[in-house]
Amino acid sequence: MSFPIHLANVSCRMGRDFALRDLTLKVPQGAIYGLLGPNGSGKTTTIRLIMGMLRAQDGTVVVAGHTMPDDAHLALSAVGYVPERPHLYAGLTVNATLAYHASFYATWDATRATQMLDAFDLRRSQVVGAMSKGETGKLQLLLALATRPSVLVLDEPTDGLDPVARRDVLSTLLEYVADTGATVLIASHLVHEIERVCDWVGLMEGGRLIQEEPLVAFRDSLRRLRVANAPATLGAVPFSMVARRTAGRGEEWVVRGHGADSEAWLSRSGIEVIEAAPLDLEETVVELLRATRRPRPTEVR
Amino acid sequence: MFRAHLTLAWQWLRLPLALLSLVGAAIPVLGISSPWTVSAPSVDAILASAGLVGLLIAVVAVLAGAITGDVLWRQDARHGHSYAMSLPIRRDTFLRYRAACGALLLLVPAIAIFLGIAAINVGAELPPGVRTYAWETASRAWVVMVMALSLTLGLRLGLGVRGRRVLMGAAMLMTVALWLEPQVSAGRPTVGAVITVMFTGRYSPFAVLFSAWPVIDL
Repeated sequence: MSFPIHLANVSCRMGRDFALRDLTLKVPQGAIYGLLGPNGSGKTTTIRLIMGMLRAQDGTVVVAGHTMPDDAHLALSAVGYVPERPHLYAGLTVNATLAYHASFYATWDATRATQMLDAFDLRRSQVVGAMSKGETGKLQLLLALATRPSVLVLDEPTDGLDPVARRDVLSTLLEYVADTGATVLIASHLVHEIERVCDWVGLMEGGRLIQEEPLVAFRDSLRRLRVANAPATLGAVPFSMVARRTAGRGEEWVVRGHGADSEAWLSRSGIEVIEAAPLDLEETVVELLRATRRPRPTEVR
Repeated sequence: MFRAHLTLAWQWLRLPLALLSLVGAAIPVLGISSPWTVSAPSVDAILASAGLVGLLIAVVAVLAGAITGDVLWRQDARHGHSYAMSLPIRRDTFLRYRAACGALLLLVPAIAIFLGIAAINVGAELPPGVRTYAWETASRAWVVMVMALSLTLGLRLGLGVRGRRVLMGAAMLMTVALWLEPQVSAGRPTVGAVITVMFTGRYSPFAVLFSAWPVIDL
């Protein structure tokens, strides 16, 4: 399996603090990879490293086969980028923006750009600085896709957009990926959005990647158990306890690695399982973040 | 790609450059024509007003270069250079394009200065033996503009907060040295003399700005 985006043991310091610490992240060819994490977890720093806008103090960043940031000018011809905040020149019209952007790319697809202008209901005479947030978001996606990139890097692409604009942006992105098989990295804190479009998920917290898996495996990695008759101290267990808390007269556990072994162990231990249910992606993310922020639970809280 | 850069730079700079061009053309016309429209002036009076015109042209040239550099830099600095850095072009090439566009567009006020000085030949009757130096002054103004543009871009590029502090510290030290030197120098080369050579010496890049501007001469 090849990885168009590959960060290996990357550390990046911002001032005195580490923004990223020993981060290894691999986006497989053709994947739509959702990079999740709360605000300040290091997602944007990771993206700025991938785009060659920052230099890591340690580790390597390779994008489309080129080392960043030294070969950024080579790598970026294959990368479409949508930033977290609009960064286009405010005084230009849409037409002037398209002309300027197109001049940097041999792969610029003017036909696709025109089609997307129509689909997004953007006019060439509009001034970028006077456009709404939704229109600016669409224009930035248009600029990214009309260069026919093999790698797309999107930083909170739908943040602040209304539901209609959000749907337009995501459906256009999915159509492009279906047509071209491009590799996509989307950083977002909107879990439901990631769940709709991604097939790989990475979860960041405190500048570290705490889990990276295909979406289905990620979502199925945790189980919520509602149990009764559990002793205060469990001792050795054949699963990993992510969370343990009282719930009514019983307890609620969130565990990783729940299977036949753990069912047998629960039965032997006299613990009654009232319910075992999978978590959705948002619940999984919340439980993993909570577990990262506090010591592993060994006793009931 | 250069054409796209140039078009963009023209959109940003056309208004300030148009204003500076008007001022640049007006300075020689108003400054030189007026002394002898009422009565025939002496050659000395013409040369004195030409000296003032030369100084004003130098000021306009510095302003034009600095404003051009600042506008070209600020458009990207506003968003932390994020857009420019996401484009597939080497950063030094990008900056070179920007500087070249600025230098090219600065020909507009330089041409305006040329036309303003050339207009003196048409609009005013110069005393015998006195002539204008339109081409020379306009070329020189353009060199000053490009120098100011390069300095502005260079300072913006090369100086972070620490660099600016170092530069300000050096300027303060120089000021203190100039203030103290009459008390400590005793026939030795003075700081003032060194600075004068640095800025106006024959091989100084700043000499073009500080030495005499012969808009009109004998």
